Amino acid sequence: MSEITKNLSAKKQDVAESSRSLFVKPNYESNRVDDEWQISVSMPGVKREHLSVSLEKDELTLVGRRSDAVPEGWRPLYEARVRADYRLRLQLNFDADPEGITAQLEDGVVTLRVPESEAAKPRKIEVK
Amino acid sequence: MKLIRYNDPLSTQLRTFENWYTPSLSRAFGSFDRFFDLAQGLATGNDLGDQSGIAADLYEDDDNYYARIEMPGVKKQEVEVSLDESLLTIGYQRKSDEHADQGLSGHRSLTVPEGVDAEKVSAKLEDGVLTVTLPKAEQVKPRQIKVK
Repeated sequence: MSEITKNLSAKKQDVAESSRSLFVKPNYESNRVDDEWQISVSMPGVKREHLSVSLEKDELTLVGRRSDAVPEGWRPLYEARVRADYRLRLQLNFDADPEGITAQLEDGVVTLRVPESEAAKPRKIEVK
Repeated sequence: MKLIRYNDPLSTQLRTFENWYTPSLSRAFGSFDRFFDLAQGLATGNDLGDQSGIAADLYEDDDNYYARIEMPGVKKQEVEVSLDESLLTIGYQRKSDEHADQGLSGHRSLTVPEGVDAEKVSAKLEDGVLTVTLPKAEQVKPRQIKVK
């Protein structure tokens, strides 16, 4: 129960912060490949021009606005998809190289590549 | 067969918040649970009370029915759409191994109203959202009756 309550208040807060519209948190997966993190985020219905990616300190934010509005004249018989815009905020627990971040959107999936900064990479110490 | 979903009163109150959630790549398909919800919902017209985030919508206008289903990451050549009587089945088969961890294939079925011209069904995949257009057969279209 406490878990549910906690979850609920967290979501309430999330909604309250966005004055413009409501968001859903998209599903995502992250994998570490070599020196970078690859994060794929499901955002069906979002076009490239409606996707924004930003990094502020260690918080990576993705906002995707849907463009699959229901055409005029379509009457719903059964509507179950959640059609809010997407927002995903990730706290990075490593030092990312902001210049090296790339994002690609294909078939409703965003592929983010977030490289570690040079300073954060493990360094080999030579033993003399 | 009749399946009746148990509705926990507590979770019903939380539904508004639980809906802030979209199904994942792997969960968007192949959920029989959801298939039954959908089939039953259309048959009875009841609120389904499903909180697991169904990723399908059904619309109509005077000429067509439209089904919209989310298929993020799936390419158009990997999708197969078939209609058997009023059961619309959408399947995908991944061609590359790149996404093997997300499942190589899957399918999703939903019941559409009867009276569809099966020969003229078309589908379009855009930005991970599949729209299936199911033209209504002539006899089910609304007809304007002239008053003489």
